[in-house]
Amino acid sequence: MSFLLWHGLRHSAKAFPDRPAVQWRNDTLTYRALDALSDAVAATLSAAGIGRGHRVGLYMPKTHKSLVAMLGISKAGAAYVPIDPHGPALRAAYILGDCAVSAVVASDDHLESLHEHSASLPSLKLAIVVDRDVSSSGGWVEQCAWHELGGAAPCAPAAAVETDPAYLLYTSGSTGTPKGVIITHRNALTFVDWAVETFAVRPEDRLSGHAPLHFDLSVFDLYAALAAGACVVMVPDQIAIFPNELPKWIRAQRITIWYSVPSALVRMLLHGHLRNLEYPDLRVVLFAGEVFPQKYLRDVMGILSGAEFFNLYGPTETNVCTYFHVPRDLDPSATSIPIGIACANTEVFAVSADGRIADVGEEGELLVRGGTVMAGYWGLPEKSSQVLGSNPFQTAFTDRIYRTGDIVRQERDGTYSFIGRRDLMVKSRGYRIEPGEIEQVLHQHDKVREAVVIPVPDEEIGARLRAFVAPHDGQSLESDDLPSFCLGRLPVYMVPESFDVLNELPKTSTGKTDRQALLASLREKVET
Amino acid sequence: MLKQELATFIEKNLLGDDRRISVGDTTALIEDGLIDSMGLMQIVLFLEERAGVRVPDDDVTPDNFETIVSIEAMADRLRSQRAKP
Repeated sequence: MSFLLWHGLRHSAKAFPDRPAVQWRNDTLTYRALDALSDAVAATLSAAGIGRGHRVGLYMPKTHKSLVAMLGISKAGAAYVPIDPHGPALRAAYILGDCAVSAVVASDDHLESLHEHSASLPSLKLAIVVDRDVSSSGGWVEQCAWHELGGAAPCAPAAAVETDPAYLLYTSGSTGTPKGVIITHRNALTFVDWAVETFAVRPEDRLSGHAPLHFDLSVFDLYAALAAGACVVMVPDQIAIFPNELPKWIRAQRITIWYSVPSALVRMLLHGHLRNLEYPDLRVVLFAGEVFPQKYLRDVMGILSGAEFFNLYGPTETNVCTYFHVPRDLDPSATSIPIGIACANTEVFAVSADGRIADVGEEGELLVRGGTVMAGYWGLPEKSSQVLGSNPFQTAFTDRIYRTGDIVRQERDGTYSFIGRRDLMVKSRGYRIEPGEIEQVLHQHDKVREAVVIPVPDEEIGARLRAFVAPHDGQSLESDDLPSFCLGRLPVYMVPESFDVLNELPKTSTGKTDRQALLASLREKVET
Repeated sequence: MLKQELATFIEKNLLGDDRRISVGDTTALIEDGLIDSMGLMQIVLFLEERAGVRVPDDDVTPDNFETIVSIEAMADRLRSQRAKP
């Protein structure tokens, strides 16, 4: 019976001990090795008193060791918290402090970058350092070297239950700080079990590990592979950023199942000569996170003609909740493709503004119920209760539902189409972005009096962010001062592409910043 | 010198003010993860807008973008190719 995240690994380690489980560059770990190494991580954490009820941060570049760490943390009974390794240390420290991690698994450089923020990490007592040969104690935090992991006495996996938190994923927050989505073992495995069956993942498969580990697309890559006894081949960051290198990599690594945001495929199509190669091993292409423009999707499907294509939809709070099997004969007149129908073991419905189940063809907010719906936001009960409520159509007992904030419409064939958002949240390269969080950071700059961030819709990446700022009276502010300031406080995908300094930002008749006027001024600029 | 302008551009636009990194001749931009796909595109745009060098897709490779020296060498090569009749 599989009810914890690492159970898939244990089953596959028994069934296929010598098959490859994870590959990163020239390093491959078999199922036996992955099981043994993650046991050693769990034993080290347990020996330090870290287990159920604790959180452990993961702050390192993505490698095969990341998966070892995630599984080890999970076996110890703790929840892992993956942090963007390319983001600013200030934000990393905020997240690790917010959920009060007891330990981190980190690279030497990343751990060092946390040192000056140690005051915000009072509960941190252990660091497992992945690129260190010798352990040390007596410094600001006890440090255990990866190479000395085998030292702790083996321990039995913690007696966790499926409703325990398995991991926390932090997403952009409209109030100025990121918020931690708590995903339980049951949440993750409900999706993983569905995915393994729906895409018939088997031991011979080689799954791409393209998404960063702090992004929930990676849950499929890692855990569907483990559950099926397949191999996840992690895309090295240095290859992922070059659209020319990726198609060669997919072919050379004999990837059978690819999963990414659409913009990664569009970049390969437009800038990476995707069409110059053949991909005989590729059988499934999954994409999620943003709308895939039809004209590019048709071209990509034409080139990768041996593969089945699926659009997966779902906010981090529900993992994937609907999917659409893209037909070969895509309707050329449609501008976007549907998000499809509910996954098995999940129910979705659209609710009209006046609280009814929306009719076919009528727009409404998408509500989700089932095993994938998150436990809540870490430490934010009020925010959690705004989006998690009881199902208004079930009054006989309490039935939890999640309000996505996404406006959808059900079509005659039963599929749902995504229309837009109820709030200001946007997607860029598949990442959720709350413009309010960026505006809060700009307001922290000494010279900024007013700031507003305008997302401009973009076919290739979803949205491009433009910032407008006004300085305090008598202050001179150069737009050059701002990118580096933002990069020190926000992940790179949230840093606006341009900064316009104005004496005053335009206002509506009610005194609010006139976002429409600023968007119009940007459009005028493009047209002239 | 182009590589100096590139160093300044990268420090001001692609690295956070918390990194305290000064980009030198041997700073490994790709291998050390200092720039990502968005940073890469910004460097390509910078070369086009400020240095007048259009970088074909085929030249957007890890070798050409590993350091400011390799980027400058690529820009010089592209300029001289364009100058040839």
